[in-house]
Amino acid sequence: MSEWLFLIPGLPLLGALLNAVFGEYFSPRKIGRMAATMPFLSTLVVFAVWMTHGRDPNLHDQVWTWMAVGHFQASVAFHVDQVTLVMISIAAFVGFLIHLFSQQYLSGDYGERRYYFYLNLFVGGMLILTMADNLLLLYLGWETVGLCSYALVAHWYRKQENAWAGRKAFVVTRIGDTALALAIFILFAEYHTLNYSPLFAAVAASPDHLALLIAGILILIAAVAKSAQFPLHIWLPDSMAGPSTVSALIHAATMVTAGVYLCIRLYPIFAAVPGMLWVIGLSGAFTALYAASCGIAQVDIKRVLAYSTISQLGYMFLGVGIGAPSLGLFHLLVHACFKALLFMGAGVVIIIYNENHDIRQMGGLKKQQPFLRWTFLAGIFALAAVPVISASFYSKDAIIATAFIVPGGKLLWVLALLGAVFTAIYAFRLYFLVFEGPEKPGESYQMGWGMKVPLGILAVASIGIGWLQFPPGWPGPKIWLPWLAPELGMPPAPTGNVNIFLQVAGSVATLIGIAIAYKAAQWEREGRGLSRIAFLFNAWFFDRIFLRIFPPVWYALARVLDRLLEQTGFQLLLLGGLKDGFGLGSKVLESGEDGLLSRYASGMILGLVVLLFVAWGYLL
Amino acid sequence: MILVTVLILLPWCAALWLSAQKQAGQRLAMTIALIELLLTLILRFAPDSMGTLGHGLHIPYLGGLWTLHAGPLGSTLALLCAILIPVSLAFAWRLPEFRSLANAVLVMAGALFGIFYAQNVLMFYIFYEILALAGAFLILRSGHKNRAAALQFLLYTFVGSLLFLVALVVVYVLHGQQTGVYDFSILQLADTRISAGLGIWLFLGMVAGLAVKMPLFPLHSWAASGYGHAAPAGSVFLSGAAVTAGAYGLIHFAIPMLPQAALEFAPVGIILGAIGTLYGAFLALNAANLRLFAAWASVSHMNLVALGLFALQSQAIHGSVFLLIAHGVVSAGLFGVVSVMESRGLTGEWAGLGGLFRRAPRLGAWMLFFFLAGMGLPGLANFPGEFLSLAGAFRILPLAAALATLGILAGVVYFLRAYERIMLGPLNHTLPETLQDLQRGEWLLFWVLGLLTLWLGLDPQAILSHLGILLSTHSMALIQGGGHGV
Repeated sequence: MSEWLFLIPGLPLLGALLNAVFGEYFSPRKIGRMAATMPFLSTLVVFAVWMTHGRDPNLHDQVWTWMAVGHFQASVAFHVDQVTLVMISIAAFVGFLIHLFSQQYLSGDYGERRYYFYLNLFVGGMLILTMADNLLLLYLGWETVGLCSYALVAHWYRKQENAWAGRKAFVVTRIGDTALALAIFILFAEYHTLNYSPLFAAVAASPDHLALLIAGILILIAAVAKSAQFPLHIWLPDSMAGPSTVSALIHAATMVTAGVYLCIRLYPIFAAVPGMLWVIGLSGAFTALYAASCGIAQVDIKRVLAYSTISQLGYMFLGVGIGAPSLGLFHLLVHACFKALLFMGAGVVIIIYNENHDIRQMGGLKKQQPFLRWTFLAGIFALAAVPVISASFYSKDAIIATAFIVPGGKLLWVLALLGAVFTAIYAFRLYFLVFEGPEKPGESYQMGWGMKVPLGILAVASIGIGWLQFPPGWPGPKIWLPWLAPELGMPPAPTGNVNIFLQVAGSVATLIGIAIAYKAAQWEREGRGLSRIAFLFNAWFFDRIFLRIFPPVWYALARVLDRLLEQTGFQLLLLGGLKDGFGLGSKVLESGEDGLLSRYASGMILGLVVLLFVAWGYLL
Repeated sequence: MILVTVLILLPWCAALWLSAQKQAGQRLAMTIALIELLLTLILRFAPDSMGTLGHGLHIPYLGGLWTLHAGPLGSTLALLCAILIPVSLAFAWRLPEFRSLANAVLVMAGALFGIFYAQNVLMFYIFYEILALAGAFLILRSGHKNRAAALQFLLYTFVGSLLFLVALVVVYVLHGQQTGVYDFSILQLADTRISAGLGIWLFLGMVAGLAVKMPLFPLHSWAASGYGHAAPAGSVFLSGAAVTAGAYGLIHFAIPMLPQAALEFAPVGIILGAIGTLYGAFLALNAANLRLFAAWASVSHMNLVALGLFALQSQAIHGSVFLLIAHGVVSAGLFGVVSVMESRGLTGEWAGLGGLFRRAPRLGAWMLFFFLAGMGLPGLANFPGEFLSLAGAFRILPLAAALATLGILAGVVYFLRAYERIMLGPLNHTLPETLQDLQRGEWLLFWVLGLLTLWLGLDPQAILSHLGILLSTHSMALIQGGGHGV
């Protein structure tokens, strides 16, 4: 099986290449079909890996040597273990579903081939990122998905603000990329290797705390930027300018989870620095609460989901931070299913309401679109973590509960639980406003099977996939954590009365949230809703402050350097001095004809020869 | 020996012939360019082609002036240069000033081949001067025909070269006094014993002469006006190939002659390179038009080359040379895009651009491609060079290298902003109604450069593994003894 691993990222990349070279000779429709086939084939290969090595995967495929100078050895080599297998299953399969969904969703729009090119490239990049066996190849995947995110957010490039949003996304995430590059430099300078397993072995053998601390902070910055965590989350709400399918794939299911994946993958580095994990947990818990609080006041359907993504990613970071990376990964899987579903559903809603994103002007859609309503509701259930019948209950609530029992985790637990209440509020507020209440008819829209199948599959997964791992003390299968245990270890689990208390607390939080959401939707229809709280609506004004400070300073610095240093310093003073020194004032410049050059050339050569001979003669 | 001599002299003869003709002579120039490409390919890949190739022109006290030596680094750079001649000529194909541009490019090419195969430092120096003169001629006779820019270019090189010459003559005389052998061969001069105090001054002189061509901050100032005023097709060659001469001179002549001083200079070089990288990035952000933008981007990258080079560390110097080659290809792509746009009557001022992707999607796609390569996207040409340079320099001087790493961030800012101004957003209403997208020939040209970019990015090992010993063993031993490590 090993020798076929390269096909998993290779096939979508091949699709992108074919599209780039031969795209213009085929109709967009055919290109779309071809593009969707590639992740499907990748999924088949991933499926084959599951079938043959699913129980205990440990596969390796060295394709070629990328760079090798001294100890700096980086290959294009793929490695598949449990964590990677989960990640590539999501990237390939959810990627395929979204390609499928796009066939109808984007047909007739401009730039379809371009769209499929970047979509294929993205899936390939994401698969490389997760399958890489060294930091440099990971970096390649990391940047590739960043590029695709840029290009796809700016897909409808004819509007200035879309292009700007794409650029903002790329620039903010590149802050993280720079940090990641620096972290790689530090780790390489300290441990002379880029490959994971020798690196972890070296870290365990001789932990250099200062280097690891700095590297750890830098890696965390990288993860925070990519996964849109506070305070570098500001790009994600704006990136909703892209097509909804893009939001579903990149800004929900896959790319934004790369930061979580990075933290899980480099867990030994964080674990080697005391206190580092707790900081990750705090960052996650705070972001979860912060973004959820912003989510309850949004009126743009996609922005609600964007803040929800930021918040849910916070829960994943919390999972990693409290020493339960396998639960974080579990929530990553669950979230990929329900958030992709919600974004695609939102895309249909937006088409129905004729590109209007404002949920206050929607309502009663359940009669017109029963299939959409039920699948969307499944996603909402999962988002709010409705007890027992939603997947999130088994992943997110498990993270919150575990936070309570780890040392120093009480604060994190309070933040996370409060976040859970807000989560239920914004999830159901969204649902009530769009699908319930008085009917506000939009245009009629008929979803074809290409749209219904992905929604259906993801809806089933949003409800059922949590049953892989029942909470401790419950009857039912407990497959997930033991399967991951060889790689990630077993997280601590609450027992006894504490366990019961925590589960009740989690469920009550959700139910309270739903009740508030019902009222909030009513208030919103009456025009006095949560969206009027400017502090929350503007996401604590954070984005504005950021934009007021950093870009102007950057541009001003560029201007100052240009005016003061380059124009005045170098051009005027230095060059002017040189000219005066050689007696080449403006007169020579003005009077000089075409012979100027030849005169200086001959003068120069003559001067050099004379100088040479003088030096030669004198010194000998 | 004969092959290399032909390689050097053929373009000069062709330039002479061309200047005597009345017609533009595209076909002749292109034929010569392709012959040169073939010759460099033979020299690079033929077995037993490395090593000293023969002596000639023995002059008492100067050594064999026409002593040729083929090393892996020199022949690889020669190959890059040979690829860029036809590319540059092709971009200039329809220009009215084709003949003067081709003349300048051919003379520069001959001089560059001389530089890459020279073993005698004086011969290197003479070729280096010819290169500078031809460069000034290019700036003077093509594009805006700006006399001030050409003069500025000449002044910078002239002053730098003088310092280089003085330093060289001092080394030469010292060597003569020590051994009694007066010879400008690098093999001889590399063994000169020079006191540390004097060595650093001599090295500074050499840096002034060679780094001005790279251009290293703060000797960079000619670059923006030079690239910005020459025809973009000429800038393809000027920024891609001609700048390699300075770096090659440093690696092949200056550092082996004064290894101890080079080692002492390392921190200064790294810091200057780091400052220059960021400086170029900021000025690119503030550039008034597309030409200047491409010029500053090139300056920024070349300072990163300098950073890796001066670090004198295994990864850094490999990365530096690789970036030098990659920069040649990518910069050719960037100036090629500018050239195509100017051939459509677009001046490149930001105010006249916007939403161009709608009219010229192929051009837009290739522009994005080269922009991405320029900002160091992994998988494309610049990345291995940038990353290795920085990773290596980081082991010598972490803070300065970290500062230069911010160039990763700055790169995305200025490249994407420029792309947005040119290609995205609503269609600028001052644009002409019909705008021709890439024609077949241009499209092919971009494919050649694009495939090269992609190949360099995906399989850098093909180049890296052949660079072998970049510095002479003599100085390498000293440098490794100095603790810069592998």
